[in-house]
Amino acid sequence: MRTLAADTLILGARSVVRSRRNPATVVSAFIFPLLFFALFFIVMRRVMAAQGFDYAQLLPPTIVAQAMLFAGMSSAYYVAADRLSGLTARLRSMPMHRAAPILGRAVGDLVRSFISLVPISVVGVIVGMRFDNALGVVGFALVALAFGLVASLGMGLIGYVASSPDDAVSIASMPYLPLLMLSTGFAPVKNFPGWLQPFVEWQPVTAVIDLLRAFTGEGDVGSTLPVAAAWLSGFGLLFAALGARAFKKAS
Amino acid sequence: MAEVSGPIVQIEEVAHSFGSTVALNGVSFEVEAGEVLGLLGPNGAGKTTMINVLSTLLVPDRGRALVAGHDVVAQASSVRELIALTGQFAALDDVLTGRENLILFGRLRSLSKRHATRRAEELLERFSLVDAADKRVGSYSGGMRRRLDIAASLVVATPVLFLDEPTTGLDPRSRAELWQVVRALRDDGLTIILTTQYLEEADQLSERIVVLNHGRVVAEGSPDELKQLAGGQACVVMPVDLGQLEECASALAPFGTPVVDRDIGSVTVPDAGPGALSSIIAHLEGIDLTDISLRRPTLEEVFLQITDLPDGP
Ligand SMILES: Nc1ncnc2c1ncn2[C@@H]1O[C@H](COP(=O)(O)OP(=O)(O)O)[C@@H](O)[C@H]1O
Ligand SMILES: [Mg+2]
Repeated sequence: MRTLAADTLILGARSVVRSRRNPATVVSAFIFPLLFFALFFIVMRRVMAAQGFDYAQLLPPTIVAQAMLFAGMSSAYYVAADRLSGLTARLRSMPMHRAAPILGRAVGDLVRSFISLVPISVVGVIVGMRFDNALGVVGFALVALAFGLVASLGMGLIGYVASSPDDAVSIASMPYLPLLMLSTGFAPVKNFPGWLQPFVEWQPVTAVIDLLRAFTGEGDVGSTLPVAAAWLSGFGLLFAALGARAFKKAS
Repeated sequence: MAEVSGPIVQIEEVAHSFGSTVALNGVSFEVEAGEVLGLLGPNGAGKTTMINVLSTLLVPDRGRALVAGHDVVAQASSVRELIALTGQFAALDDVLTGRENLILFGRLRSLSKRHATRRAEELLERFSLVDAADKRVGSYSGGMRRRLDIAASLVVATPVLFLDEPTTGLDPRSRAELWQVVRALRDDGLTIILTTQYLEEADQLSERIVVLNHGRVVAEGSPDELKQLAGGQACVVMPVDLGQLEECASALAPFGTPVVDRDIGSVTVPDAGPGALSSIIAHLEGIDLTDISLRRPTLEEVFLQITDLPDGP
């Protein structure tokens, strides 16, 4: 276990250094979410207000979820790149915990997630988002980062099967849109066709967005936390286990 | 060779296929501790597949392989403590500097930060990479990458090192530098399995050669033993008077098909057969010679002869 933690941190630090040397990564992590935020806010605010929704309060959690999924996609890219460069093979020939590479990747991505999270939250507050209390701020940040971690683990798996880094990103972008659009992020459950409603209501991205909103006073933390926590820990463990397995068999 | 501690690597009847491609077809050989073994074979012979089995990257369909008595499949994690792999393609992080790469691999081998940094420094010096130490690996030349790649395998001392085609794609100067590196490692007492497509390289670097072709061992022995495998020896005769070249050739006709080289002024019988020298001299009576010699065929000639056989002996 000590080596798992140590190797995860060492590999995590490595991916942070990599991102730092690629200014495009940092800029896109910072700028893209803000761009989405601005566009949705400008286009949709009045429509939502007409329906009685306070968009400044509802939108930031959606943008956060989107940014985390988006950050996760880079994980697919880098896992595939390491595999094809032979680096993964070298790591596989070394004595290390088989889960360390995928966990290291995901832990390193936390920095990127954080870089996205801060501007969204700040701009959110500027346009009118309010947190319940200090605990709400901490909860909001922790859940956002936990979601980023799980998204990165899941997307990283794609890197183990894709035939190239670009291919990995293409595949990773496929679950990204449906998961995000078929959630309560952009519309309430009742606005979806009846057969889709159960999926929209119970899928993990909805659970995360609902919990993030609860931390801003839109909803109840007590009822949303268990669902989100179950999804995040369940998928987190599943993806980490699959990631370890994929590393073991990577070629 | 003195018997010290017995084989450190044992390979028994290892077979592996990728779909319908048979990459290894029952390969067995052993490597003594401290030995440099050249695994020689043309492209597609199965060298990389063999190295991948030994370095726990690939579970073979059949057979087994042991490193220091540990099974590479059942006891893979023990084996990983004992080996280091430098694969066919440099496995480094291009975005990190040379120094950072070495520290990364040192840390992953459980060295403390200080220890890993110190070790990186030593290796950079040893592999003449000090000047490039703080440049990104992406900007390195092929030879530098290769040296760093090997250095990354040496951050901690493992008894067994696998080098898969360490000089493929390098210019002659970088290749010569790499040979120096391998010789120094040999002198350190490492057990090395080195794959190569070049005979000269196997001849230069290894004490023993295993020739692989179509996934089978087709020959095995010291470079000298392999040269003998080609059977007879070539006899080269050089007359004082170049006008007598034809006369020499007809005198040698009973021993094979003489080849006349007017530029050098020699007549060669490629396969004179053992013990032919004295009767050749008798046949050449009356012709003054500057030189008469028997030579082994080159390893090149042997290699072509062995690997031409579709399925080996
Ligand atoms: N991953 C793979 N999938 C399919 N065929 C492979 C794979 N790896 C190697 N082969 C095939 O197995 C044979 C041996 O390959 P390899 O061990 O790489 O040879 P070498 O290293 O001697 O050039 C070749 O015919 C090669 O095409
Ligand atoms: Mg090869």
